[in-house]
Amino acid sequence: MKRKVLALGLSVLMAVGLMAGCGSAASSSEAAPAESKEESVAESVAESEAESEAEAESEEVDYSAIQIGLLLSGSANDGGWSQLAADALTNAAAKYGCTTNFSESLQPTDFETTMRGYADAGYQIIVAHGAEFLDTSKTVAADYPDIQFINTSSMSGQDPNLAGIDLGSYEFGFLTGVVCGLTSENGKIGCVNALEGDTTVLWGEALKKAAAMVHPGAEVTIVYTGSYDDQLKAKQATQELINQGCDTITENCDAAGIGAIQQCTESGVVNVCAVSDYRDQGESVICAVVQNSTIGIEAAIDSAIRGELGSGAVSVGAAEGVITITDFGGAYADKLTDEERAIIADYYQRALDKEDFSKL
Amino acid sequence: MNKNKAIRVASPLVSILLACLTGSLLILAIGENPLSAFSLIFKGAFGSLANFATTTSKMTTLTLTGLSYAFAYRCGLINIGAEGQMYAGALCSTLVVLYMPGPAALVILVAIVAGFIGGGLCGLLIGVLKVAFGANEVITTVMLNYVMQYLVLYMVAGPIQDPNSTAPQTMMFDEKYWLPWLNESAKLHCGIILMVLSLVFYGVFLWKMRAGFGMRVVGQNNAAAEYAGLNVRTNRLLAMFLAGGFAGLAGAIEVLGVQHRLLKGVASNYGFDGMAVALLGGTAPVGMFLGGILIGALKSGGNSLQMFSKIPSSAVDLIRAMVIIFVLVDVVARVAAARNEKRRMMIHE
Amino acid sequence: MNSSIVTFITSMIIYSTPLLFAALGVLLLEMTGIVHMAAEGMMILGAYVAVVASYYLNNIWLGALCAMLASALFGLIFAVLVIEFNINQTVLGIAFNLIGAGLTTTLNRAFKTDAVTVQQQFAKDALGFSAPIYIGFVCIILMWIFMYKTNTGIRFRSVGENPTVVESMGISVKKLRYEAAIVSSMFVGFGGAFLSTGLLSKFTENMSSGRGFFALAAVTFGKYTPFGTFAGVLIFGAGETLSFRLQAGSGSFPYEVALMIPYILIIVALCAFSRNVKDPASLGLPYKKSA
Repeated sequence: MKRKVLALGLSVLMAVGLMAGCGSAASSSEAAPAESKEESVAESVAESEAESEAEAESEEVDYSAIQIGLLLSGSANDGGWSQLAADALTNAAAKYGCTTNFSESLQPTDFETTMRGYADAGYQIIVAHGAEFLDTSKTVAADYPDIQFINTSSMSGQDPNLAGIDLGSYEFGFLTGVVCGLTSENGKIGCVNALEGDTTVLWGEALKKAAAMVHPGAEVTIVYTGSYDDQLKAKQATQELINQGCDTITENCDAAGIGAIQQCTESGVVNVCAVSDYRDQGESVICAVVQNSTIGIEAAIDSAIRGELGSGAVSVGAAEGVITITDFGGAYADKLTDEERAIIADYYQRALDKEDFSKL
Repeated sequence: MNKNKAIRVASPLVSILLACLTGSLLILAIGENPLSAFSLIFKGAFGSLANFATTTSKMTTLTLTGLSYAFAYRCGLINIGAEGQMYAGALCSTLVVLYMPGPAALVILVAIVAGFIGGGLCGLLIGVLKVAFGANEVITTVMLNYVMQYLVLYMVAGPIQDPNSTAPQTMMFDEKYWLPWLNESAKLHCGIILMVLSLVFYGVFLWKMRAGFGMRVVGQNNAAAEYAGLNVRTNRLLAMFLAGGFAGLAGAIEVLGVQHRLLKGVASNYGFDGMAVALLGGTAPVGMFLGGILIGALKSGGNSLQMFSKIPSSAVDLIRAMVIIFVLVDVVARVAAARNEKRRMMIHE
Repeated sequence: MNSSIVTFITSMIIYSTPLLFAALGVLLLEMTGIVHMAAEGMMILGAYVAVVASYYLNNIWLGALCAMLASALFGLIFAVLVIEFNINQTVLGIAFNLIGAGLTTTLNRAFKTDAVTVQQQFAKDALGFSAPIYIGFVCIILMWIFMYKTNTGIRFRSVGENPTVVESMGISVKKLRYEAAIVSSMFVGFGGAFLSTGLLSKFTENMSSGRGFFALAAVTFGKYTPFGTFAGVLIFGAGETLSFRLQAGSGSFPYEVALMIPYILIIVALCAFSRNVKDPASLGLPYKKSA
């Protein structure tokens, strides 16, 4: 018997620790900040518009024979970039009763076979989500002139059947930069990204430019973690940024970014959340700058289904409800004075008026 | 002995069937139809000439990375670094195509050799670290996988990036530098010939040549090998060079024959899947060929399963794991062996 | 002492604790002669179960216990396949990693558990250390005592060296290895639990991202000793912290190069300290009891 006890000795210790801990562990007092149910005006307006438009359409023609395929390079459950596109597909299926399917976590080596696979299977609309697909889209679209291809984050299309939609990445980065620049007191802004990609680079450039405009001398430091899944790395990177003196953190790495928010909450540093609305993940989040690509992609699918899309390049942004800034809240809402909030509102209004920030 | 042969053929088939049954339960649990799921996998793997070509190209790469594992394994080393070595090979081939002047056929040839040597050097590095410092190759190979992955990412997003694109990739190679097609419309390239030649080399080298015999002796028993006057160090270095070389060759074929450019993630997951191929095939040439077909088909079929159904790619991974486990457990062969044993014991009594 | 050095060391220790538990688990199983490639899969399973169980039981300690039990079950199946069926341990490990990642992702989607956030956290002291971190330290010492000062520990190690001899002494090799597999998996599972609920509060798919393999590396680096393993874990942690510190400190450092640092550091350290390492002699070999 003694032998057995010894053999399991280490786990017993852990079990004892567990039991002891049950009594003493601090029960959480950090309740999530009251989530604001109010959505910004622009968003709801755009949504209701989109809905009413769709209702009018779907009653007339039967679109149930249409098949739509979507290619994602990330996980369809990433709580951000890829998930928002998958949502657009789900919405289209519900709206038109058509068949939709997606392929997630695709490796670059499988881009072309997957895209051709959908084309050969008779899919009429193929959506590729992200600039990384653009070369493949161009090659494959040329071989299937009767199929409508859509490539997001692209400033260019290709005649006659590849449409590019730019989901306002620059505007998105710029508005994030405005908020970060105004929130920061010492001008040191930290940013946690996963990997360098087309859209994140553009986003980062806009972020730096805007931050320096609203907060002269502001510096943005970008740290890459190499992973969209690994929250812990994002958290650790955030801590290093805070150690370097950053007093405002923003992150663009989907669900892994939750780790960054948590570190901000623990260290008492303001977080400006980007891509998805993660205000419920910690009181450090002052607001979220949301890139709701669902709306943009849905709109493109709508016009593709009606056969009106063709080959142009469409740019969508705040005016279409794709980019929104949520209400301010959390523990550090008072970091932004009324004056500063007015500046943010002003820039947002300019975005609504379709001003091109990259020309500033 | 005819019965034994029948068992050897039937056993893996039964294992795959059992794996499919387990997979069916899983698919049912998700709320999808298992029959249509498996027909999607099968169609995706072999349903059309194009699909067959995809399966073949995946199988080519997988068998070569499997070969990489097998070479080291036969010399008593564990090479988990096929992925990193494949990156190295792909990178070297790409550099040759991008920067070497001369007739296309020569460039392709040099690129293939460069891929082999690049991967080989990457493997040799592991061997040197092992021989000179005693560094465990399991760790150095895993670590080098990450290093090579980031190195390729750095190269394709920096020095050799396509100037006309912002994606992390080099420009598309000129068509004359592509591996020749066996069937152009189906996109079936001639890499499979290189793969079969590699398997033949593997079989002949290890089982018909003196050097290969020595390598196997080292793999089985270091002390005995030393006693027999074999140089353990040299054999290990050679084994790691060849192991890395074949993974590098896989990388070369992937860039020259399939992608026609170097891009990020070109070797991702091929390392581990290659190990499964090698071990499913018992590190024997024919076995690895068959193992390559199985895993290659599961990969391309699995791709089409997630393309045309609501079954997530994670479930496809689960099915792949089931197949690996069931084939390894090898129920029929075990039952047969147990029966034989019993009978022998009864005769004995 | 310079405060930036202090933050460097504390953050290195905090962030490598999940790895430490996983590595201790790997150590326990490897010393009995079984290659533990499946740690990655067990860790992600532990991470998932911990989040879900902590949420529904409303207690992170109970959540961690559930994670340990789930991992133990996983480890038991692994052990049955290795011990009874003599399956190649390396490839079985790979299959189990596929299962771990596939199963958690599938469950996460089926039950929409990505919406679950664990509110409770482990209490922290002034250094930012929570109780499990200290338990980790204690476990290193206990592991050392177990390995070198107890009969069972010596038997565990002897099985790794020469199972036939141990069997001939009338001790069941199978039973010993089952025990090792189960306890080892509990450690790995706890590592996963600490990752998802101790340092974070949410599960994300594939969040273990390779830590199981680094655990294996730390054990081999540590020459199969508890303190050596701890050193391996710390070196990896230092590399990771350094890679972020370099990026955060200077805006122009190429991030691909920075991200290579932990891996290169391990290779260099391994070369520097690898003289005279000996794997357990029976590591990875199938064992069949001779009748």
